[in-house]
Amino acid sequence: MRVARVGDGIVRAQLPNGLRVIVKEMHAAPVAALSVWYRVGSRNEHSGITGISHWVEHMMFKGTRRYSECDLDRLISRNGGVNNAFTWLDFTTYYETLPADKIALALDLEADRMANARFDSRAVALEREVILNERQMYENSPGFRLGEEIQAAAFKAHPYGHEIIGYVCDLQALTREDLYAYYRQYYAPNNAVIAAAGDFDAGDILARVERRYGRLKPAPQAPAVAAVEPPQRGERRVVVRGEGDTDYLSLAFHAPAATHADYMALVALDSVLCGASGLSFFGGGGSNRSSRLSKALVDAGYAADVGSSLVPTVDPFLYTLQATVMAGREVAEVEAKVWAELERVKREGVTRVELDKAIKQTRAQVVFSTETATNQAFWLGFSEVIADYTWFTTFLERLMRVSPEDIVCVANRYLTRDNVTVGCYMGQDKANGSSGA
Amino acid sequence: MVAAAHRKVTHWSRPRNRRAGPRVRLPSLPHSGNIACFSLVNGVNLYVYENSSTSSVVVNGYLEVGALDEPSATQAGLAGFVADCLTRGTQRHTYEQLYEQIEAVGASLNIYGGMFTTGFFAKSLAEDLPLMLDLLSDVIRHPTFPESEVAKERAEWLTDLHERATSTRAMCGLAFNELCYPESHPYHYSTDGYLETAQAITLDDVRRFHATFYAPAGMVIVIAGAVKAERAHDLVAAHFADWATTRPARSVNLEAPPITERRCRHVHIPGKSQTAMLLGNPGPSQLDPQWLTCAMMNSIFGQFGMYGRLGERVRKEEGLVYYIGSRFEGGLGPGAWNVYAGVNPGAVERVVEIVRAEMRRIRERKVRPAELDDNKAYFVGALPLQMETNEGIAGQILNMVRFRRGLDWLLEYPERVYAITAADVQAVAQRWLDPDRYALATAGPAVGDGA
Repeated sequence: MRVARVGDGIVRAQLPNGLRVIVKEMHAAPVAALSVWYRVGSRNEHSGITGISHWVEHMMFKGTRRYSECDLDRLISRNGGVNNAFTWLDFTTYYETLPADKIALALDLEADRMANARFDSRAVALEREVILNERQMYENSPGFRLGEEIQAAAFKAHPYGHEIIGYVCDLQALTREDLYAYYRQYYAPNNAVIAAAGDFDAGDILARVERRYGRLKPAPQAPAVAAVEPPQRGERRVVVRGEGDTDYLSLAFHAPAATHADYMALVALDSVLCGASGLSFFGGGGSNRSSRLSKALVDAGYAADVGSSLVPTVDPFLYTLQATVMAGREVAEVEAKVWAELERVKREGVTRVELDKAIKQTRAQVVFSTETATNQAFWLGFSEVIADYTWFTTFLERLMRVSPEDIVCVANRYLTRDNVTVGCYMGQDKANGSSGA
Repeated sequence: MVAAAHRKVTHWSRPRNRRAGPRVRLPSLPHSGNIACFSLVNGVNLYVYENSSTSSVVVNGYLEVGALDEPSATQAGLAGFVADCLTRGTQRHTYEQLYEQIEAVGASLNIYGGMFTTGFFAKSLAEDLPLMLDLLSDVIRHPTFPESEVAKERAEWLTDLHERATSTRAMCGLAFNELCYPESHPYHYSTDGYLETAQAITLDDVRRFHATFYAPAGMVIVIAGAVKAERAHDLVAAHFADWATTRPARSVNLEAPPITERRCRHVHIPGKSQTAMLLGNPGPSQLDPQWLTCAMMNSIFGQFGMYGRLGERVRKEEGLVYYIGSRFEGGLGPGAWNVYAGVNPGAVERVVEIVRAEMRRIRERKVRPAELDDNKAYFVGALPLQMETNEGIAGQILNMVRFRRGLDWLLEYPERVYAITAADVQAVAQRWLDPDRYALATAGPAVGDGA
């Protein structure tokens, strides 16, 4: 095993079978977190198998050779821990947080299901129903229905164009054999990263990883994702009609990948427009009432709230601005206000004060998001999957190098009418005289 | 885009004294020896937990004012609306100035009205604690409720209520409370109010409510993080010690008559794919001496692992739901016990059948020793995770104070948990779960619309 101490108390290692490991000691609380990351998500899917990454994730809780379905959850809980998993665009991750002296249990469970998940036929059939139920839960939200249409319109070639949960037709057609073959292709040490943080000795964790994972066989190299989204040549629009009397507006712009040189300038611009985002998949972030879009839309009475989403991804994804239209206002009015603010950035730029505010907000979010072992393990693993661990450890430093000119530059480059997909959800139950499409 | 996940997890729980169980490593538990307590003469109580391992600080607490102080059901939502309007402008700051200051330092400040109390929560870097306490005191004590700003807040409230009307979970919750509690009971009404009340409440109502009920007596402030206790005390005293307002005493009857039959209601929301479901009865408050046993029974029934016994039967064995669980909602006052689930419209009847069968089982048969032992181990073993953040620590201290448990509650906690017997669990199940008399609320597509 190759081991390197790389600063910030972080230790990286790689096993001969290709498994990457990143570990950080944290001794503030007697807690430890483990997360196991597989480089597979909806990015690796294509028409006909949408949702398969997520379904495989569900199957990983249905039992292994050593642990029954009941044991997998029961053992974590009875040892005072929590566990879960989620599937994302670029990865699937499994995580456990436990009292520090119980972390070996998580290492053992995860090693077992990396190679020995059962995929029992009856469990596959039952889980199909569970996932269809999960999709129904999402479909109850107008935001999900609108987002699904926007993604589909924004991407013509790249698999980022479908929702992670997958389409119903694919969920109904996938077989046990499809799922198992997919598992065998992507769940292997050479396609995984283990991240651990907490109140332990890093050397001890590495030794345990080597003992438990060192014997697992690598899989043949998974096929690379070759799709490249062609440049957008003009505005796209989608309208979703549905229940309720509230309208929602989204503007989704193609945005650079997390490792692109423009990414941090876009982070700064997002802070100015919509406030600093919480740097955690587990919530966080403060209010955004002093941001430009909140002042122009919410304070001025056009929207009940505004939000944004800039997701760090392996391939270029989307930067999305969202607004809930205030009762009595028209979607078109809100959209015009958004464009006016975007044009203002391009025309007038941003002030040094606004940029300093974005930096202070991000500094606070970095502190908040690294206080727990769970979040530390999350960021270490996440960064290793999309780039390497320095993506997060240098996040603030790189943000501080962004200049007001950089922000104008990315506003002009990405926030354009030729690069946008505009999505409107039109509530159909309005009283007479209220807004239409 | 949605991160498709295996499940969602929530939990927490309370107790009694008997034999001890296995020891757990709990070095940083807050207790009377490491929580600094201060009382101001006006009735404000401050609790400080120093945590030098972080560079942030959390302020969590409440005032004794809430929806129970609303004059009538025609003003439902008033307490929450007043709380929302506090940051709309003060004697020293405009709305814009307040948020500019808070957000410029990456901090957050939230104030929210509940049934019994109005809660507040602030989080910032430790260096910004003085600013946050200054702003907290300013908005609580000196709001001016500018007319134009209150109008904006009302417009946002109305939009929220319009959105609520198409939320299956929210509408199911409203219907459930209406079934559980008679019109004469405060819980019959939503603390978020209704379109009619949101339009009818006047600016005078808002100002009068604040002037009448916002007072220091009974206010609790918990501060956890990178601050010295004396420093925190000095800051709090500087901002709150001269607050001398008093409020009229509160007198309400929260006794809920038992449900004597099966009460069902479906809220039809066209265009939805899934039905939200709540099934249950009025339950106890967290002041009930049996609360911890109730929490244990509930964990076994619908929480432990993946949704306890409910998860085993309804999700794992039959694949009928993505999420299902159960909870006691009681706080300072009694609250309902209920089962919650998102169900395919065609499967509601089957899920209700299984839930009722499981209610009968836990009432009629004692839980197995291994099952009880697993849940006890979870209750005690999970404590370190709940103390990992300043939010977690402050939340635990606040609960010890709010529910009058004593500041050594967590030290005694393992002993209390391990004292619970299978007979205790069965007794509380028999007391609070009734498979034949209950409220069942659903909201979603037309009944029978399922795939």
